[in-house]
Amino acid sequence: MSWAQNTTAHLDIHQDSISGAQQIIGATYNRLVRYRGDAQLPEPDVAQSWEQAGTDVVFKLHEGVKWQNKPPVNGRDFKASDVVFGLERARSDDPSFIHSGDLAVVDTIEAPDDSTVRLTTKYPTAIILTMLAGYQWIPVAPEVIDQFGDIKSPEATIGTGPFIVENFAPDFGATLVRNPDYWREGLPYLDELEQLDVEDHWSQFRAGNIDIVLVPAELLPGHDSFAGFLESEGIDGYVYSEVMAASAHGHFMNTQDPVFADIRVRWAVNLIMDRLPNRTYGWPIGAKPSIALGMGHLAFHLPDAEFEAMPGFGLGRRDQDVAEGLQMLAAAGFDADNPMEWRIMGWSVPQTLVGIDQLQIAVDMYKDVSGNVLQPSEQALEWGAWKQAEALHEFQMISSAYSMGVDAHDAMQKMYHSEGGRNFSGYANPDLDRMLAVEESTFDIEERISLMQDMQRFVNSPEEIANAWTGSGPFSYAALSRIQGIPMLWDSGRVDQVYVQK
Amino acid sequence: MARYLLGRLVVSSISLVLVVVIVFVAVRLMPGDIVDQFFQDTGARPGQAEALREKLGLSDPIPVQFARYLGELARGDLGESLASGRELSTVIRDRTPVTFQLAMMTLIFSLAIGLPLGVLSAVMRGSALDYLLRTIAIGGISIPFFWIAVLTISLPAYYWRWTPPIGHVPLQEDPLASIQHMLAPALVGTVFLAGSIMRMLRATMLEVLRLDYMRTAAAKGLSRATQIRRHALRNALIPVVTLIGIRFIFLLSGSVVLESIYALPGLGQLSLDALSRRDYQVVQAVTLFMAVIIIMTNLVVDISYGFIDPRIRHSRA
Repeated sequence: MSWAQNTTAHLDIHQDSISGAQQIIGATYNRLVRYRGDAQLPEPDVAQSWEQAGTDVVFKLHEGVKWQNKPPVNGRDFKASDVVFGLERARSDDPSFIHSGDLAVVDTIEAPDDSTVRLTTKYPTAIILTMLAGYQWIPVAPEVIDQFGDIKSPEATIGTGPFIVENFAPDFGATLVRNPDYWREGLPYLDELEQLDVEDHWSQFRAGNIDIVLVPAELLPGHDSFAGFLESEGIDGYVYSEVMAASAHGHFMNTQDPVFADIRVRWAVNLIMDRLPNRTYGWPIGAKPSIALGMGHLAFHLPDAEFEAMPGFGLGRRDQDVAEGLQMLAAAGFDADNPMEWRIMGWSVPQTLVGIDQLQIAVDMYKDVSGNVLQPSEQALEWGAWKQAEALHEFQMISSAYSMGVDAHDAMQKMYHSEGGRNFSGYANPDLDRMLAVEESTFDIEERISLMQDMQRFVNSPEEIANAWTGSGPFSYAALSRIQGIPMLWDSGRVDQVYVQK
Repeated sequence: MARYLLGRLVVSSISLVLVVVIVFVAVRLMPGDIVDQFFQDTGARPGQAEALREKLGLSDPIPVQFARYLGELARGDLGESLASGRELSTVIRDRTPVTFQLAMMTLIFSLAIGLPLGVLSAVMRGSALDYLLRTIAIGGISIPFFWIAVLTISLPAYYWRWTPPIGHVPLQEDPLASIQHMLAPALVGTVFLAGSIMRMLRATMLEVLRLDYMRTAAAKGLSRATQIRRHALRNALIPVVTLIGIRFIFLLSGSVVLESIYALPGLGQLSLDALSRRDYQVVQAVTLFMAVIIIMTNLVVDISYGFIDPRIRHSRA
């Protein structure tokens, strides 16, 4: 089975972002826990079971797990100390280990015996298991590091997973072959996986060069369903899969900027903004309104009915919202004679949710809806410049979409905590920081959902608003119909269950 | 000739130094760096990004970084990729054959098509065939080749569910498959280059055909084919060789687009990815390598004039 993906520079996922290599890593390695097939919640992987009490999580490992049969491990038994070694490496103080911040809550990791891992956190945290399901938390055999120094090369990429990396070239792709000694009996079904780094994925899919493809969003507008899209394209023999992506989009306002420091202005923008054009462009089918959370965190979203009644979001109250927004602007000193001018930054490429054409649409939208009281201009930047403007808070408003992390808490924490890694708007409120801390230490899932929803309401209130979210939606995948068993989270490392219908 | 070559080498060295300085400074003037890219998915913990910049040597003042870079160059060390940690001499060694194979195939196809058609068009000036060939050549030059490249993939995919083979097979592994994989991008490049060669050769041939020595050759009773081959073509080729030199350089630097569209892991793809990742070391190394190749190509072109036209050789001597 083959697919197309822009490939990463190397395979050491402890030292690189996960976006380019996650399919390869997910197929090659197991983690302690992995994502459940239908949600971003943990389920056993090499850990057969676990017990969590207070700050302690004790994992019992599956029996019979073996490393792949490549030197220097040569198929030896997998041990708890390998988990400890891998996690300790990933959370190293060396700044190259870029994910270490995500495990800052971890105090100690121990292996009391070959089949037990004990992990102690600095305080009780309900999200540690979901965090550990991330692709980056792979175990590593110490002798691999002894021999190769890192796990960047295909030779050093040795896991316990269903597929073995045969070759890998940066910017070219990878070939993985079936692990004949995989510890899950009878799996995997497929003989070979191929990741190709090619352009124009859709053409390659139509030509039969790849078996599964992320359907470009620009092909879907005007269609109510994927089946309708396939029919209009004259395509048969394909199936469609919605994958619960964890990404969300919004217009983020810099609270330090003289214009947007005025909360009346931020609230007015939130009310006047028509979210539909962006939302349905990014996710033409299945888009949903959201605040900070992606579709992968759907259980934590506010109910649809609540969004419908929420200022700024509710389609049924647009006129009321716009009128109220214009009043707010007037109170802040802006009207038709003295319009509010600012710049929206985005990416310079077309045909993406945050690209140049969408910036133009947003500019026109603000002008049209506000009767030219809002008069933004767009500034499309090269990727690095756009990201730097964001990181250095050198923007007034920025259009961005983020992969929102493995856990709903993680998403909210990074975006809104006063020290959050993605808090580019400069939002800071100790009350929200406290709410995040309480939610993180709440183990009852229903209670967590309730607290998470409270926080969404909180940050979207007239007193707090910093980010005008447009929404989230699923990724739409198409696959040849002979490919069966594709999980909802296609890239979750559950590729061992994919098979070909003969 | 030796003095001439020495002069050219001095000028080339100065050009190389300028390239090194300009590229080194220019990539650092671009907003954002590789550390920003590392943390795009995860966000950094406090102080982590600064620590990583320090580890990678990116927090030093630019003059300090430049002095370090010059020191490495003086030792013949191109450095390591900031993203992958791989030795750049190895990376460039692995990627170069792909780019050169593409450039050479394009050049060979272009010469095979452009030279005979240029002669034919000049000899049959004003005929229907001449007009047809000129129209095709202008079309080839005018249509952006990246657009043709995109069409060669998307159109057959849409109508026939087929695309030209994508990716790369090393020449030494399977020559036939390698050429098959390179055929489409090479032909797309040929559309552009063959048109240029044909037009240039036609124009210079027409000038030469009007000269006195061509009348003398005809008066001597030489056959038309001999007049063209021995007297006209050889003299008309000098500007064409210049053009080929310039276009070959363009093929090397323009490989970015074709390699990207056809998923060819060459130097162009490498430098494009490095630029978007802000992998300064890779950008510097590839640019320096390309600059050396380009300067050498120019040198070879200059020297080749002497072999084509002995008058040039003698005047330089």
